[in-house]
Amino acid sequence: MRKILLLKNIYEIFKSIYLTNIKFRIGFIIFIIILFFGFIVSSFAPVDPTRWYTFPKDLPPSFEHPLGTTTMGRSVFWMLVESIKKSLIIAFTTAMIASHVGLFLGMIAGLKGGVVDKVLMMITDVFIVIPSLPVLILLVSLLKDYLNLYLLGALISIFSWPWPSRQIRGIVLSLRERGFMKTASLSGMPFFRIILLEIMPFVLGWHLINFTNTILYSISSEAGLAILGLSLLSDATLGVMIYWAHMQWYALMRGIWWWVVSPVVTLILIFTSLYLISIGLSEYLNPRLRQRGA
Amino acid sequence: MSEKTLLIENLKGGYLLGNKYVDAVSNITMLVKDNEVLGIAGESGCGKSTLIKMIYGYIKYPLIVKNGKVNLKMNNTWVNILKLNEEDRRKNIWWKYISYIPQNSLNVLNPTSRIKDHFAEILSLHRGLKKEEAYELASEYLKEMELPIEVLNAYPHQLSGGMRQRVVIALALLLKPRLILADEPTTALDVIIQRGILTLLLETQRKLKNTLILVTHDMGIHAMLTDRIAIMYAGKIIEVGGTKEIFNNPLHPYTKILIESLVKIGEKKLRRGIKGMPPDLTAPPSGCRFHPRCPLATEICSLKEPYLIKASNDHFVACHKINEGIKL
Amino acid sequence: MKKDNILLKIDNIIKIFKYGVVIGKKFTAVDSISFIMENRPQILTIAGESGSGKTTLARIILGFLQPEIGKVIYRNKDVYKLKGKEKIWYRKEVQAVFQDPFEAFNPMRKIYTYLYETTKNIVGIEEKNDIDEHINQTLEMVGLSLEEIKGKYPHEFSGGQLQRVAIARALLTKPKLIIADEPVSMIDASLRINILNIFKEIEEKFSTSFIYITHDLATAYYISDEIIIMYRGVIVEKGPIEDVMKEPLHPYTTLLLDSIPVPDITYRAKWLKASKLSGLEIKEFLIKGCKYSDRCPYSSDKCIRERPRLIKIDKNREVACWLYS
Repeated sequence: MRKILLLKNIYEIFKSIYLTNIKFRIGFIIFIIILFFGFIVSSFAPVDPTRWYTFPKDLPPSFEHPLGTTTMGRSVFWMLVESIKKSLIIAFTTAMIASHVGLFLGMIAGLKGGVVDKVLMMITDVFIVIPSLPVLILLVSLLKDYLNLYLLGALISIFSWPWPSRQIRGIVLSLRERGFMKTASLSGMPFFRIILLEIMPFVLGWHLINFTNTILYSISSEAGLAILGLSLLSDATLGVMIYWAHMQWYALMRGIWWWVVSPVVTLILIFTSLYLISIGLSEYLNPRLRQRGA
Repeated sequence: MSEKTLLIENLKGGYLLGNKYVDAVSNITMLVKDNEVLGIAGESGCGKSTLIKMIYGYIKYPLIVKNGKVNLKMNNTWVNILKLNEEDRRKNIWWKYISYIPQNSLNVLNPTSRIKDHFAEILSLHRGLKKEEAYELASEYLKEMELPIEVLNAYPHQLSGGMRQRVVIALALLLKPRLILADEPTTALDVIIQRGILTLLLETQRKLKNTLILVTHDMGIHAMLTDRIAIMYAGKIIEVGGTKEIFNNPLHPYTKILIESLVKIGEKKLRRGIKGMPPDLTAPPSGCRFHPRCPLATEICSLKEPYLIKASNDHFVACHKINEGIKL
Repeated sequence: MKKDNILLKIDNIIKIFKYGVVIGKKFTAVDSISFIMENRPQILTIAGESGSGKTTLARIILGFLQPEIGKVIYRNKDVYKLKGKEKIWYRKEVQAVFQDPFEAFNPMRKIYTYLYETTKNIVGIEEKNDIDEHINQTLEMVGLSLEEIKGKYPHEFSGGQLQRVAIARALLTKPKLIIADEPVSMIDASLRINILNIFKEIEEKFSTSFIYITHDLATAYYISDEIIIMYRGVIVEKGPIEDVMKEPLHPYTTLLLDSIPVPDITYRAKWLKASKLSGLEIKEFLIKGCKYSDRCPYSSDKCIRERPRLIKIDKNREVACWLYS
């Protein structure tokens, strides 16, 4: 019964944001369309899109091949939708790990305070300061043989957890001073119930924003690594597509522009939509945080 | 005869709540003179804050203006504040001709700017002063206001509530405006700070000889500061007159209750306070809006709305019972 | 005094806060405060302006802030040494009402949930129907009902109504002591007396004692018997409220009394003679001598150098001021 009410609440809140915030609305629609292509359309691929020479190579966009074909004889369209799926799987993996680790550590640091807080923040700062790219390059190179979508996602998460952690800690610190925390204590609420009922409602919104931002960060990290040749080169991700198209086959120079432009435009669309969702959410959250009596 | 400075005509406005309309300012006509302190009294929710926002020209959705004029005398001509656009108000009116002191200082102060930069912003926008000049002027000015000099470098959150409010008042008075609107400026501040702030506000008004409109529910404050008082109830002005006259001879039943409901010092015996609650302004009572709570209400009170009628020189009241008495 | 006769003993409480961002400096927010509340129904006022330390003291009494030095002894038990079930016992015995009812409740939660939690966790009622019954009965004491508040969020109430709900929540456990921190400061002046009457009624009907924290001596006089006046963490005057108001000893007490706005025009001239306002609060906290010496019209060199101790004047009045020694 409680779970149904919770879902109903979430739906109500979503509806409220969707209807009132245009940025969120646009971002959400674009992202849903991308998800649709990445996860639903991709399953209708007539052949394995990564197999070379399935189609004549270097064909420009036509009715048969909506986005043309590549120099390796692959359909750009089917490669693209498959790449969207794979890129997003990597990104979701990163987001799941990093944002939750950040949430957990941030909450502990904020609630416990004292030595625990100082130690956790020191560790967080270390990870913020270490340059992520060289370390990622090193790790990916070392683990090249074991690399798969999920491992890659996990590696990227090593450097994406500190920001959510600091952010959540900030929220929790400011919440600790609020009057209703005292009322909760005076109402005999045990510690974990206070976290669940008083703090979580405020934290969840920001957690969702952190999740969204981490997806963005991860997709761009993977694209960056791929262009350096440090991703799953035999697989299909947006970054890998660009790698093969631009770095290996000089598609633009040779006039095979559809091969490069498609993943680049898709990346831009993903970034934009996620950014709009993130901004829309934080706009929605801010007046709420300051909301008082009517 | 004092010069007229503000003329409000048939002002009607309120809030859109979904498909309902909150009739917060219901057909208000008022005249405010130069060199006077006008108090606006009434319980929370009577529309006094809304009225002030409308005079200031701070009309943000869901607040809408349905009708009426807010005429301010500027350079010998009457300017309708409501007819100006926001840019115009921001550049030419706000801080310069009219200043607004809200209840919560954090609604005026920017948490990411130091206090000295707040001064610099106003002084550069309206007087064209450079930062250094502005800082100098600000520090001299703070001395006048008996504010410690350290305040200049502080951020708003580093100051106490009372100190912040004093800064807001200093900012409001900086360009010596013609009209100062103070909406519950000392609620939630302790009595000593309150006295200091209000005294300062009055001293400045006396010096500048401008107009101060002070909104508060506390009749004690009105007695200490104001020259005239307008009592508001449920969006309407129900009594207005000289402060001395209102306290010596309160006519409207609501005014009497407002004055008597205060906890006076030296009082120990248990007694009852004001009964009932202000009405829902999305569906206000018919006729006189006070009739459901009025001890003197008769049939006509629920049928016909009473209008402000002159009871004596500079004393007006809107009440059927009293109006009967006056006519007699 | 026999041990059973003491409800609350505040024993030499000292609380130190740090300030300053780069260099850690300290000031004493509550400085050697001691007083006793006997075990009989009474309303004690702790009065002072903002920054006097009264709210810090309230937090200390409620167990939210541990003092560096000193003890809070409630019915012979040290509040900061309570374990397990004893903590729930303390929450049953001692409750609180705060200044801003809109801050006291989480805007995202229906206020019913706080009443429910208090009844379930502290009063110990399990059955939902019994819980609702208990809540309804308690709400009736403040002039409300369960019907009126069920399903509503804090912003759907007026300040006065919400404060009543907050009081009802505190009453659910039938406490012996309620700490009320500026409970009517944010309520319309015309509605204050109604809330204060509820306090008086609670004291009479349930023999509940109150610590009423305020800066407004008019309302303090209306409901309380004893008064303690604090300034920058120090008690400056103490005694039966009748005597303190009629014949204030400490200059600060006089200032508090004179600052109350009165609905009487003849008082205007006196009220407008405002005295010096405080500068930065922290400076006054750091004064070695009498904390009030900077603003006091009677201050002398001795006042600035040396802190006056609380001395007894008459049977139950005390004052800390060099004018009296």
